[in-house]
Amino acid sequence: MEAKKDFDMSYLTLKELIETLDAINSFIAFLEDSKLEEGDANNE
Amino acid sequence: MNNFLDFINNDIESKKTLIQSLPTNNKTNQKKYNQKIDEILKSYNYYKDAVTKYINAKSSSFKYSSEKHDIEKIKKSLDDFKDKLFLFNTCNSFKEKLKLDEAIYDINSYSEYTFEDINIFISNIIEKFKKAGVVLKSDDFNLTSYVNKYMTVYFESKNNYDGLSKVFEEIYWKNHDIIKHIELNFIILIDKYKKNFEEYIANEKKKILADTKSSSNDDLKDKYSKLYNDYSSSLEEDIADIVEKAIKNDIDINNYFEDSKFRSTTLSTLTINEIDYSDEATMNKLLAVLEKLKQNAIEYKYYLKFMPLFEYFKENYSKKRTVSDVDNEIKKVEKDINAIISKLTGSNKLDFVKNVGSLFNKKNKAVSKSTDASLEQANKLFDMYLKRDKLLFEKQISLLQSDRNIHVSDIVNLFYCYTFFKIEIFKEIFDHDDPNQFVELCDQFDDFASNPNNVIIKGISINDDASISSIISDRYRMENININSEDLDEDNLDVLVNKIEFIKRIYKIEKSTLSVEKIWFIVQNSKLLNSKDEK
Repeated sequence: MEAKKDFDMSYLTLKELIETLDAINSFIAFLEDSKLEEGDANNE
Repeated sequence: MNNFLDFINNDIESKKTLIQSLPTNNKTNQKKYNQKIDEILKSYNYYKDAVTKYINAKSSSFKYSSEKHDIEKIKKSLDDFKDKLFLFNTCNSFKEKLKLDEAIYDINSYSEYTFEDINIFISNIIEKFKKAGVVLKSDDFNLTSYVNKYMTVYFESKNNYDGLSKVFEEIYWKNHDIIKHIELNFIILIDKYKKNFEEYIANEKKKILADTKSSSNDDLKDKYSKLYNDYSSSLEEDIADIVEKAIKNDIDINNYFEDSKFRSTTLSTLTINEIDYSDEATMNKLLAVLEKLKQNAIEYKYYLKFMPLFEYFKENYSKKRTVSDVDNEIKKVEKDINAIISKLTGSNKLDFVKNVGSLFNKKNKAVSKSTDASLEQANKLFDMYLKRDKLLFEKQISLLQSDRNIHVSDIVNLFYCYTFFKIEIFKEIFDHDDPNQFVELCDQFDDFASNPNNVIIKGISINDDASISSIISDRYRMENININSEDLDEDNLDVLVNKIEFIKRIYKIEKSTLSVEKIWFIVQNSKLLNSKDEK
């Protein structure tokens, strides 16, 4: 899954720029919390 | 047109849905689940990095000027000018003008200082004599043989304190008042060389008028006033200061947005009748009025702070004495002083003529007896001089009282001119457990006294009962400012000044190359950089 590379931030207002970063940071935190330790679920 | 924020929000939703749909019922699925999360994390860390760099570049692109003033240099010029102006004060004598009273006070407070400090104070006073063209020698220190012994070693030692320390140790246990007597000897010498000091001051005043191209005392005061206002202007916040305060969170930039409740409430309640804040002429007029209100509020705050001094003055000096009454008392004390000085010279003569070498010889009864006699007289003399200084201070008050009603500004100026009495009385009426805080209090008083823009205290008589806060608020209500006397209560004065600063900042931001939003953005960027440094 490749990251999008062709994004343009120049159209965002200053508030929207900060909102974007906040959303990214929140999601990164969510992803890190979502990771499993191997062996959490029932074994095969 | 790509809206990157919309893309991120939508992508996050779809990724969350994807993650929630992945099976995790066995080790293989768990592994695949974590791998998927890692893939997504890689993309989002890439986005995070790109957005952070963009924010930083955007923040750095906002240019704003900083009005650099060499504040230290301007302050030094102001302080130098203030010292020069002090010589022209009509309220005090040569002793106060040359800060001889301060120097004597330093020695007087010897128990608060080290041995080295005391010798520095002695050196400072000798230097003041030198400036007036008087070079002191050990022969001038003949109040008692102990004083002469000490000062002889002092002049021989040339800042080598080991020898001094030894002779001090020898003397102190025989005469624990030695420092008091050195102080007294200086007081006698100051009197003796009065003409030299007065001539020195007269010459200095001529030089100052010439150097500053001033034609008179009033002209000099006008120049000082201009310099003072230049210094005040240099302290005014510029846009760079506002940005720095916002970054440090000394001010909350969110309060400055147009839709902020704090801002809209502050502006809507500021004036009695509505005004157009977008009209430049209206704003300029408002800001000029607010600046005067701020100065008055600060002056009034100082007035309240030093109220104990004015109460003390009313309690202790309200009974008017005529100048001639005080003068007669001064003459009587001076006659007593001269009588004691001649006795001292008489009793000391025995020491000096015959027995300086055997000063510490207890077996020489004649020396011991005359030395004891001189110590007794020296202590009496010390009290007489203190009494005389107090009477001279009272004479100054009588002179003021004979002229007209005394105003608060007269009392402020009086204590500004007489450092010795300022400190003595401040110690009586203000807390002085913390020496640093006490020094700060004295400095604040001097700042208050030397502010050429004081207007309120010039109009209040010491016996005035009128409510000053009402006088101020009534004045500004005439200028359409919505203010009541309660806004000028001691606890509310800082709130008032902060409100005025808030409005000044709004205007400064609008006039600058930045906007509230840009400053807010700079602050966010600064937080990002700080959190990156912490990691």
